[in-house]
Amino acid sequence: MCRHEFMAHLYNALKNLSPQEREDILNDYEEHFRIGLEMGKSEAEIADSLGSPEELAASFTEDAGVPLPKKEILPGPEDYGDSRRTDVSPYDQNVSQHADYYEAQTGRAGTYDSSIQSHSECERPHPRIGMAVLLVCLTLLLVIPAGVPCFLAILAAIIALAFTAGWFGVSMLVFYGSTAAWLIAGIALLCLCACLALCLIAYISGSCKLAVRFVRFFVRTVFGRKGAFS
Amino acid sequence: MNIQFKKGVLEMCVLLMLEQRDSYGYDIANELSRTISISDGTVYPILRRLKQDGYVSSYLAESPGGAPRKYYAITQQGVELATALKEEWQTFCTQVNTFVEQGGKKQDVQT
Repeated sequence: MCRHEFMAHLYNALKNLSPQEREDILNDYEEHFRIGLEMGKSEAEIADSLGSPEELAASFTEDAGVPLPKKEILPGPEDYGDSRRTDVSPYDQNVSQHADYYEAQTGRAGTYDSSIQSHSECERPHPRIGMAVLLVCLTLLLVIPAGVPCFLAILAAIIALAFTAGWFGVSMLVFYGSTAAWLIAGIALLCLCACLALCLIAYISGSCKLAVRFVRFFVRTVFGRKGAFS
Repeated sequence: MNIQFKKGVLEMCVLLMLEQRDSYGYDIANELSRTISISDGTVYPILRRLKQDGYVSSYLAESPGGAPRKYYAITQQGVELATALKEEWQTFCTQVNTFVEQGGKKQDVQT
């Protein structure tokens, strides 16, 4: 690689930086070449020892916090012509085939980038909003009118059964406790009451967990994890 | 070697070199690449970052050859950073060396 080739590659790879910054960086490498030549090295030697212009450019853009291909969103062929006319680069004219190669590459990267953008900007919110509407309808039509009464009905049934078992158990022990058969029946009913009480606790805690999970899911879907509507 | 790690170490080397005397890019690159296997071009991103963060400053000075050269000088902030990095590096080396020595011993036992 000769000096011009190196500089053309570097110039193209640094397109995301501001013209001022790019000029500054290119000047540094020009100086490097100049001094190297003064020291009696050949252009190819110097270029080789400098390393890959693309990798070097990457560490510059990294430092500037500029993500690589972002500035050019789907540049058409006409845009290239324009940018070359306005962006006067001594490297582009001299090594046009290299410049073209890099423009083609960044162009491809730009297309890829814009296709990603269309995914993230246009397509993602739609299922979100659809999901949210569906969830709100579901909540209003099903969860609140059906789910809540269901929960209360089951709750009432368990409480009623537990009370019945407890009441009968206690009354059997109190009134007929002298007979062995009644004693056993009373104790069995009390055990049943205890079991039902445990079931009640499990049922309430399970329902609470389910409700919390549903509310979380609801909020996440409707409002988005990071605020879909912000 | 890990690129981020190498970058950090190279930053320290550049600062330590500039602590000795002001220098220009070519010279720094030349001296660094003589001892550490890096490509010469790597020093320019490093110098630029150091300058942006205020650890070094630059000025143009005439060269015997003709065109002026961009010289870099370390700032007070840079001297402080260099000292801190040097200490950090030495602690790190000592720590790593304990593992290296342990590893050596274990191998001796096995063989």
